[in-house]
Amino acid sequence: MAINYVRFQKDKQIDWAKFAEGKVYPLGLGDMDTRKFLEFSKTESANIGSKSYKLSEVSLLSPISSPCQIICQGANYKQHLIESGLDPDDKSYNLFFTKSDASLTSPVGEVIRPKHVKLLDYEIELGLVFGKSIDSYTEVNSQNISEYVAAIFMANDVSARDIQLPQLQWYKGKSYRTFLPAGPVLAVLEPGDFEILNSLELTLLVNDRVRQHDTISNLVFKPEETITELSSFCNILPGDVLLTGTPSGCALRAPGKMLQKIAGLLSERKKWELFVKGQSKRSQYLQPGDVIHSFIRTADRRIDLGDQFLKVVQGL
Amino acid sequence: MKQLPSKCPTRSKDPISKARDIAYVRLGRKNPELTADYYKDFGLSPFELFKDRILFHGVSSDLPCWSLEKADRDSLLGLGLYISSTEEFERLRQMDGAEVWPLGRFGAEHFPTVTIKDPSDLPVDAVLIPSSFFEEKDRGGKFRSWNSDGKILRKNKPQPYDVGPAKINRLGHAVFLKQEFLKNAQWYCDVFGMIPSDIQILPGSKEPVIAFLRCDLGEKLTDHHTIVIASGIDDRLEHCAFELEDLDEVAKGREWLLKRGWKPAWGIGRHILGSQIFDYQRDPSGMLVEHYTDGDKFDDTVPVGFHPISRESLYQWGQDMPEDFLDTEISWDKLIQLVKGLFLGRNIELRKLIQLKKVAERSPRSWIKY
Repeated sequence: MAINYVRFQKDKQIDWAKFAEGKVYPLGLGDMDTRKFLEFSKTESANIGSKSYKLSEVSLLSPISSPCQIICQGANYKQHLIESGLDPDDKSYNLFFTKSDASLTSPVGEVIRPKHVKLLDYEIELGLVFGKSIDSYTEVNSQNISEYVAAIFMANDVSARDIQLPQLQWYKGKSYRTFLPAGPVLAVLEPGDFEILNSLELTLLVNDRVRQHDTISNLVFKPEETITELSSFCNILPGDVLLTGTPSGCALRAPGKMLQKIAGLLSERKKWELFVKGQSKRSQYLQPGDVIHSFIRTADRRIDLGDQFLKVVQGL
Repeated sequence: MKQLPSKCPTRSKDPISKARDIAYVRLGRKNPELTADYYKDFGLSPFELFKDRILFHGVSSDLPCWSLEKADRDSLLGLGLYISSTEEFERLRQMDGAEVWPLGRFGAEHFPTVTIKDPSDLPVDAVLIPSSFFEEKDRGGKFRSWNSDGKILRKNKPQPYDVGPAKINRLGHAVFLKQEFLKNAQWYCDVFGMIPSDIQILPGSKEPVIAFLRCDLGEKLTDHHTIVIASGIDDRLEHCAFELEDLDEVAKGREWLLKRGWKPAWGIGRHILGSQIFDYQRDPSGMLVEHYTDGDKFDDTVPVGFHPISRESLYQWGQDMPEDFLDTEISWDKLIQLVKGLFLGRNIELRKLIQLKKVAERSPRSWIKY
């Protein structure tokens, strides 16, 4: 069964801890990066003392440390493809993009909406953490995937849609500081865990209303397939991460087919002006003061990646 | 434009009180005596027999957990919850319409009780009893031991053969249908400090429709759910569940009820949410009652889970679910209750009820054709 760890700060000290039965058991490792921690977790059985904290007594940090490479998949759940204006039967390619590691932030805290951003969106995602280098084409399958994927975690791929789409700036629109709350749990996988992953349920609520809910089994491109493809154009180091895409229910809603055709006749500028205007009417976009609560777990809680609580604040 | 789904109930930061457990359920019955015969076969022990009220208890406590009271129609009369703090009792007493019973609802048990009404107008009694009552007691069970490969507990001995009604330890939980789902579910969180363990949502619209609520006992373990609130066309009790020692006791109880000529409802199986092994029966009024064992026990650190609702989501294994197990029929009585609710200005989400009915009519397993 996956072993859950958290990275936390208490009294200005950063440490790793085992997280079990709702309690935080410090390991006394100090400020170790994710890559080193994964090595540690492989070789040594974590020594937990009798000391423990309640979750409320510590400040949780992202279990993914920078520097690291953050690779993302877009439109990787069927229902999300449909609402993004894509035909799921047509989609024959795996959509990749990256986020800057400057966007990494704590799983309990704030998401800052930059001053010039209106269309702030949320995307709950399952993140995979690599545990082995890849520097050449590698066939990954259900048999050997556990060699490459060492751990999993929850991510929120926060996006500024009015930068990402009209400006064609995916990197920027997805990478502002605080745009990648990660954790709280780093679930280090054990043999047999990969079979359970399919029953993981992702849930995201904004102000206690369910916006996103789906299971990992609905992923279009499975991790094995994705990593194999990735290896043909990308080098991977331990500690790098892959975000596997988000289910339906984001604030973003693609205009209908007809509207898209009409928009094709307009100038680029006019088209995106209308896009931003249209999207601004949607009450789903995040506003300062909104609270995002998200979690990924199985119904039987054999795997539980913890809870994120984020408050949206206005950047200055 | 598609509406946003409704709010979900959440744990309250500052509840008025913290319920420790369910105390009792009070049922109105046209014929309490006939019903009492059933509940004796079901496994409850008679506690006090009056002409118009019959009280029962489980073996783990001498306090009544089940009250059958003479009434014009078969109905739910009230619910009792235990609290153990006098400050909380005082706070509940200050609530609008609160009614105090200095000697308790049933008079004889000498535990002061305050009655308030939940948003569906159901009287809820908060029974003040000392916290020592909740300490772990040795109930003298475990008369069966189980052998398994590699772990032999019963040497040179067959498994004892036992016939009779199930030995009921205690009342475990009650499931209520409510016209106003959120208002009621949140009320139990705000007034009695209940914590959502799991919430089920409608696939598609993501509307919350069922909340499994447990007590907040801090670090102490409590049942995965003590009260369940579900969206309904009317306000009523859907079922109550009684905890037994083990699987054999559940099966023994089923055998006894069948032998005595009572018709079963569904069983035996294992739930997904709460994990308990269950067996469902119907009392003479048609109301569901559950025998269960091996339920989940949670402390206050376990966070909420969200899951889509369907018939399939109700069990991980078990006997096929009969078509009539979920009551999806719209009866005359339910329609009257619905109209009454609408007339009272209740926030009844018809859209949600229609979706729920559709989901409930879908067969849980590909091989079951209703």
